[in-house]
Amino acid sequence: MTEPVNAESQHVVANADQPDAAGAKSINELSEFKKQALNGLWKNNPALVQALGLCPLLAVSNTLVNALALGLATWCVLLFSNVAIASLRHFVPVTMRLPVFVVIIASLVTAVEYLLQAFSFPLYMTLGIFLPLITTNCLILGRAEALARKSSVLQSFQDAFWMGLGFLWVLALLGFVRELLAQGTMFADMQWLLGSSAASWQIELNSLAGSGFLLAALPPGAFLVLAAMIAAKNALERSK
Amino acid sequence: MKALLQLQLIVLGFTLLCALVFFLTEANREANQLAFEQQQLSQVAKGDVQSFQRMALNDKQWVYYSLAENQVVLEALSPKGYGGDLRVLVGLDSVGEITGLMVLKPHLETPGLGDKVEAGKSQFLQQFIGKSLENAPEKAWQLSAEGGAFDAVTGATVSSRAVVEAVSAGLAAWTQWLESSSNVVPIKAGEAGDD
Repeated sequence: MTEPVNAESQHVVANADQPDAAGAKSINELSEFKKQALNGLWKNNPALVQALGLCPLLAVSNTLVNALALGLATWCVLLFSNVAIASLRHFVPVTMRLPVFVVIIASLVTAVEYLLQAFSFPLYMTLGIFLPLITTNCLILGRAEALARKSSVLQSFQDAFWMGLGFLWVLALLGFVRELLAQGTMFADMQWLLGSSAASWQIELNSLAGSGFLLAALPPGAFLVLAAMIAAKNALERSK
Repeated sequence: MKALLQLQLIVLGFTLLCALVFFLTEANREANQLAFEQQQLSQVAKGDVQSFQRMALNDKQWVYYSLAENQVVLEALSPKGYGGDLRVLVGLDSVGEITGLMVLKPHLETPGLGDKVEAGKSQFLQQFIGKSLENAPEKAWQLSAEGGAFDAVTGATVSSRAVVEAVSAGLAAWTQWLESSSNVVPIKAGEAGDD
């Protein structure tokens, strides 16, 4: 029950079985690798360009440590789900793919949730409902649908790597800015993620502390900061 | 038929994965949960928090009690927080007066406004210290704007009201439990060592 490869899809690379000259092939692979990296991190960034996964992005980015944790958890789920879906792509009937993808993603999220609860309990408590909600992050199902279900395992892994990283850096920057504006702190509570030695990383800016910019802590503030980031990206591209 | 079998195998495989992770992390998760509860208890109770046991009073209120420390800590809930349930821990001394109080996290009160009812962010919770159902009339368990004894945090009226409600509901449930003759009273009033 294999499905026909969609020749129009821009993600599908030249067939690897093609008798290419060894040199030309490696150059192809390298440029494909760079293209994927650039796509995930910047040009087709899941958060800034595709505007995927905004619900957790906006809800949990109130501090850097929360944003990093959710970003890493999402990244982890995305890597495993893309690899799982790519390796099972010949066994999932096209008509049944969505329920199967959701089952796969939900199982992986559940596993990640147990692991966080076991090894980073404060984070588990802070992320709360947004941890299981990773299941509904359109980014993950989106990558499964657009790429992993018709690509090789390696390619799907690379795609998940860069897309997840692209989501992570936007989330982390958003968390950093919001934490700074709302609480006047930098790197607060990093020990939740990185062990007790990171407890001393917290920097309080006296000029900002206490007089926190409340809006930045609330969801509308998250929208505004994200909008500013998207605007900055667009301005950067236009100036080129 | 073959496709059906494949689907079943896939679902079975991922279910097994969940089960495997569940059992592998079980000990760690339970230890974390216990440590977390004890850490919270230590903020409102005195003495050895490891001796506390948890018991349900009804479907919304719980009590931690320690025979060794002769103390009770109520875990009380009000459904009327700004974002849903608001839970508090209430430490009681041997005559039922409040010795410590904290709002449990995670809660859904608004950051910067409603969350000012938390300990350390305002003096709101201090007003409860020393109060009991016996020394404060029923009418007092409201906000002062409504004729009660507790001044709400400015900008956090809903959250403040929910805290008052949770505490009084917890105290009421505990009193009711003590009064129902079928229950064995774990703590005897008036026998406390240090209060």
